[in-house]
Amino acid sequence: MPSQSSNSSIAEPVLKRTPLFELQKRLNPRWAPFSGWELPVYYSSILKEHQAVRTAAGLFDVSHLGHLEVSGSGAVAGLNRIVTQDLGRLGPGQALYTPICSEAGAILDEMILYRLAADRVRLVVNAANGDKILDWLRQRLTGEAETADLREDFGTLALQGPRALEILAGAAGKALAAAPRYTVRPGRVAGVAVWLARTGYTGEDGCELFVPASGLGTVWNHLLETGASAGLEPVGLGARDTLRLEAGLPLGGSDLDERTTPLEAGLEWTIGWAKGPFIGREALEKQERAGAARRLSGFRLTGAGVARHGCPILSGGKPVGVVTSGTLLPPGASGQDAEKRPIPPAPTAIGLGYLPPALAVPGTAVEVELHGRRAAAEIVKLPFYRRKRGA
Amino acid sequence: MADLEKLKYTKTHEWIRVEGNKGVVGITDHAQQEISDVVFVEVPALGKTVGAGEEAAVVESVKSAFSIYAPVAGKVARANEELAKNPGRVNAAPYAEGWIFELEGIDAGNLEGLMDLPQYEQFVQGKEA
Repeated sequence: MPSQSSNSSIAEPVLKRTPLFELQKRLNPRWAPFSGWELPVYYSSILKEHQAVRTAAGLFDVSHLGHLEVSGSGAVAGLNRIVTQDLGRLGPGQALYTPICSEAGAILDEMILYRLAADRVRLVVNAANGDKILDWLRQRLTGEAETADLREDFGTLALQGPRALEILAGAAGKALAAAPRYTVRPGRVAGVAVWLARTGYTGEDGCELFVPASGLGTVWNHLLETGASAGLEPVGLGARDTLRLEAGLPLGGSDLDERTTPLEAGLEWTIGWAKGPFIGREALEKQERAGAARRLSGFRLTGAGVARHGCPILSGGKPVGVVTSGTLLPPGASGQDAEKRPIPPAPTAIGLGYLPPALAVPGTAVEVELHGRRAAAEIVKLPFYRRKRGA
Repeated sequence: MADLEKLKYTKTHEWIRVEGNKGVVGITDHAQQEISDVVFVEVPALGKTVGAGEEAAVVESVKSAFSIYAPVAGKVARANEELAKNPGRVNAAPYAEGWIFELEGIDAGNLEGLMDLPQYEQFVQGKEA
């Protein structure tokens, strides 16, 4: 700019576009590259879109997420030897968040699995990891199971916010909108056959719709039109990032990658210790016994500034960790933090970073180095934001 | 609103209003639009000496940090402390209440390399074309 602190090479690769590119272009968004895709960062403003999702509803095109499917009589049993979660908990019509780890226990990717039918599991994976996970499944999956690459066939829309289900009820029927969280059901929106998943990545209630690529524009337009009176707005990737961070949800590629394990990332709840063998189990058991050397923690800057990915975290003047996500928390949401205190009205800089376990304790004072100076910070319990339920 | 004709502009989208050996610096309307919601401004320390093209301030949007460069060499005489409370002024009034810092001890005879308004407008259009 005002030059942004990021590098772009001269020979930039051609970016992929979702089937909604032309429709979104009419809304004149700001575009940015993300994991090889050209995606809207915001349509009006990140702050406004963040508030829309916290107070009414937002519609996100997250068609960069990759749809893979494992089917066959051995699909669930086969996947259960690959993912860390215990798929004994994944009944037909249910959804489950899980990492997939390497033998070393490193996170190759994390995703939600949707059991569409007894013998059919949909995996919705991070854009950057689609090829890797597809290869991994094809090489490692044993038994009666086939892996299909549906990335060209399906797009994903996320409808999120306190009024999302009311909008969904109007578009898909009350019965589907009343389905419990972490379920997936077939449905129909504007005549298009879709999968309605009661999942999301914002800290709000809502759903995600898996839509055949050919019907994506129809469903997108229908939801925006019918949801407008409830305050529904299109929301870009910028607010998706601030919303998920405020909700304390880690981001694959920023907070989670092949240098991290689920135990370090605060994802021990996704490890199905009670089940049989799975890839990475021995390494994770070993780390569990020894104790992870670092933990993903939430922090709040008590000094001025905004911490960003890559900023060093200091204790006693010495580097002890690194920031993996950071933003300024937009003010004004009517929610609570993890201690059930109201969200402060003033903007607060928040972030996630890895710290030694002794320092990863709420209340601990640390410093974050930004632009060559140090800002005071305090470790806080996650999430930064918890929605008011039943409001 | 300042008279935009009287300002000088950089290729990195700062403006400077030179009076004598002093100059007030901010970012252009084009820059504030590109940055979008400004949520924090790190102003330089008073008395700090900066060279032409050196980073003097940081403007943060929700998404990213943007470096603000000194259009000319000088010493920081004033900084807009109001931006600590109201960073959105950079968006709302980039040429007025959204100014960022003032340099003193600048060489007003040495402003070549900076653009005048028509040159800057052409520069921005060329970038967008």
